[in-house]
Amino acid sequence: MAHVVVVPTDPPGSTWEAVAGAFSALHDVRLTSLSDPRLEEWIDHADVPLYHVDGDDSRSEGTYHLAARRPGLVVLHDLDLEGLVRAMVRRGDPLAESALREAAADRARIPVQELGGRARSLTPWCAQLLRRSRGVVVHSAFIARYLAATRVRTPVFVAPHPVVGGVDERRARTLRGELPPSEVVAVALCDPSASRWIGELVAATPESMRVVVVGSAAEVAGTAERVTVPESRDEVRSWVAASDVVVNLGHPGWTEARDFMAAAQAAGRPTLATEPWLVEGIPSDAVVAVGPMPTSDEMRTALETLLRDRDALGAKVRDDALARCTPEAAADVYARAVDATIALLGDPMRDAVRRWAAGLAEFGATVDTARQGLGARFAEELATIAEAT
Amino acid sequence: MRIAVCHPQTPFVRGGAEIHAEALVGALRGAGHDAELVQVPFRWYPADELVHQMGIWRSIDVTESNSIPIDMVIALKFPAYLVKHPNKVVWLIHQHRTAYELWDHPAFGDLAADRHGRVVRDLIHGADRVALGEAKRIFTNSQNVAQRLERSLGIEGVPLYHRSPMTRRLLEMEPGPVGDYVLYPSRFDRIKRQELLLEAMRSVSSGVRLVLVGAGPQEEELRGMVRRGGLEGKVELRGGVSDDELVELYRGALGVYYGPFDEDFGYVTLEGFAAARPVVTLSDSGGPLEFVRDGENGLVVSPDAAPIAEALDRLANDRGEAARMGKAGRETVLEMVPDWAGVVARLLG
Repeated sequence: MAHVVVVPTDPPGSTWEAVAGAFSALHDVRLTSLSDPRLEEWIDHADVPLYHVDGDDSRSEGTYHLAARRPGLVVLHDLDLEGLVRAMVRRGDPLAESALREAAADRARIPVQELGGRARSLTPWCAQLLRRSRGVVVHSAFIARYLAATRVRTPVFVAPHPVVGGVDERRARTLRGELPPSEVVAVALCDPSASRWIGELVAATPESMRVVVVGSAAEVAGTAERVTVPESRDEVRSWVAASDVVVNLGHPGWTEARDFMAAAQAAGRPTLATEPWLVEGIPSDAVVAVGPMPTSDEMRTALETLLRDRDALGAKVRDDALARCTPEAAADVYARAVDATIALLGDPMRDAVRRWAAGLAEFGATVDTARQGLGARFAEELATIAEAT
Repeated sequence: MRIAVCHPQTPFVRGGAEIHAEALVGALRGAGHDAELVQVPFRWYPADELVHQMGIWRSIDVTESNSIPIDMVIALKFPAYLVKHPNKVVWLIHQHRTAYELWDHPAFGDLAADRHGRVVRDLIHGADRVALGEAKRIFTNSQNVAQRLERSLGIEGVPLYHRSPMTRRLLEMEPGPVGDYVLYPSRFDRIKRQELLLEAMRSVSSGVRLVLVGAGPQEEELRGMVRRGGLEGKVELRGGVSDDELVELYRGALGVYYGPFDEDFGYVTLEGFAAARPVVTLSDSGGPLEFVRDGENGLVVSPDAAPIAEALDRLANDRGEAARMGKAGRETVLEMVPDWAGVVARLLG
């Protein structure tokens, strides 16, 4: 068992809380925090530190700094660290300028055809953090592909997003009971990029459908009587449990939507999604996808399909989630990522490359210099030795 | 003290830098220190090879050997002075000249012609600032090299002259009788400008002869120039010779010629003086100008064939003056250039 020091977000997120128990059975885990006076000492003596980072600066800024200074394995809970990086800029953080520069440089390298047109508009705000890390765990195959497209060379490990309970079923029944029996409930998970499609969705749904709008786009949903905007995360989860169908309009909706999607999976709710990658991890025959810029007609047809087979589709989603997206499965990937990172850190070739690269970096060599092939020969020759052995 | 003398060595090439490094090790050992020459094969082309070489020197660990600490590193040339050591002394023979004063030279600026040249030049400048900045003391082998360092990077180096083994040997001997040839011992390379001297030899009016000693990439071209110029009776290309032969060539010469372009230091000047021979050098030859005083211990002329021919004829036509200037040259060496004991004391602080 490896000795792993875990620095969670402050406070710890629900995903880590779900995985922590299973992960602790696989490695010798010391859970600590940024306020721990012996934090540096624990890291000194650990085989690898494991940091949890999300896009909320109030929860993750300190950990971002620590992860950049004491590189280890990062569990990236949000691909979009824009809020965190912008907060660093506002505070004049010494890492902010290079974080912006690296994000911009990596964004320019994203090939449109690999990810679809709209992904081009995404900025990899996590570029600096990942480049300074020795490994990264994400919870979506799409994010792994996205990072690969930005030419991130840090090893990426994809863990299933654990599907955990925690839904207040009584509250869900209450919500449902307050509605007319004939009314159908659709929970629409949206991030800012999905704002413009809320109107289309509302127009696509019959009068008998209640639309519960979740996320940053809620304020543009209008004031239609059959639109509900939940006031808390717990209430969202209850609405998901009370729903007939879930609609994910994010592009690609990796922020608040991902957590609620997990709740929808646990509850066994069929899903309408705007792009396939949003719901990776859900059986493809339990998802009805529409184009990235759906019309009302498209959404209406998709919803009809989902509602027609909702029980069968929902059961498929739930059974798959309960079998595959378990905390144990996620913990197993975390553990394998730890093992791989320790192997990487212990690789004598890595140390040789580090000395070499550090020497050249002192003289002003940069990633761009290496990209031109300057100074890369040493690493290339080491690679031939590795291949030969 | 255990002292590692770090030096990049171009295999199968032996010149002043190699002699300098070996002589330093010998002098340190002579002073009772445990000294060793640490060399890495050097190649400077194409430009990315330079970056590789920089990485090599920066990443090797010379803080200890065989579990015994190395107390000091003395580094002599780029990129050897990029090596890390807490007690690093640099005795600079030269920086990588094509990244500096030879960058845009039409004949010698090979780095600028490389597609990566500009990036590599900037890296070299960055590396020099870092690595020279780390040094406990920086000496240069001449005033010329110190001035280049000051001009290019604003870093101060203290000139510290030294005597080559040949200089020492000649100083220990009585000068021989003045002969009838001018000697130019140097690598056959464009920057040494033997072709300019051959051109001058076509127009000498006295019976002065020229003996070229050396080896290098320009040898065939020089032989061709001698043939085409009908200089076989006046010019002898001796190729490489032993140290004993070179001693006798110095001692039997009328004078010594040393006319490279912007030389760092140049042993030939001091060796010619040690043999009590006047030295003819050129106004753009760099290092030799720190020792040669026109009309006193040698002649300084412009880098053109006609004045060079006139200078050679002057020595041949007034052998008495040649002998007098040679004797003054010997005094110059004794006055200006410390012996190795003095050099070692300065280097070790």
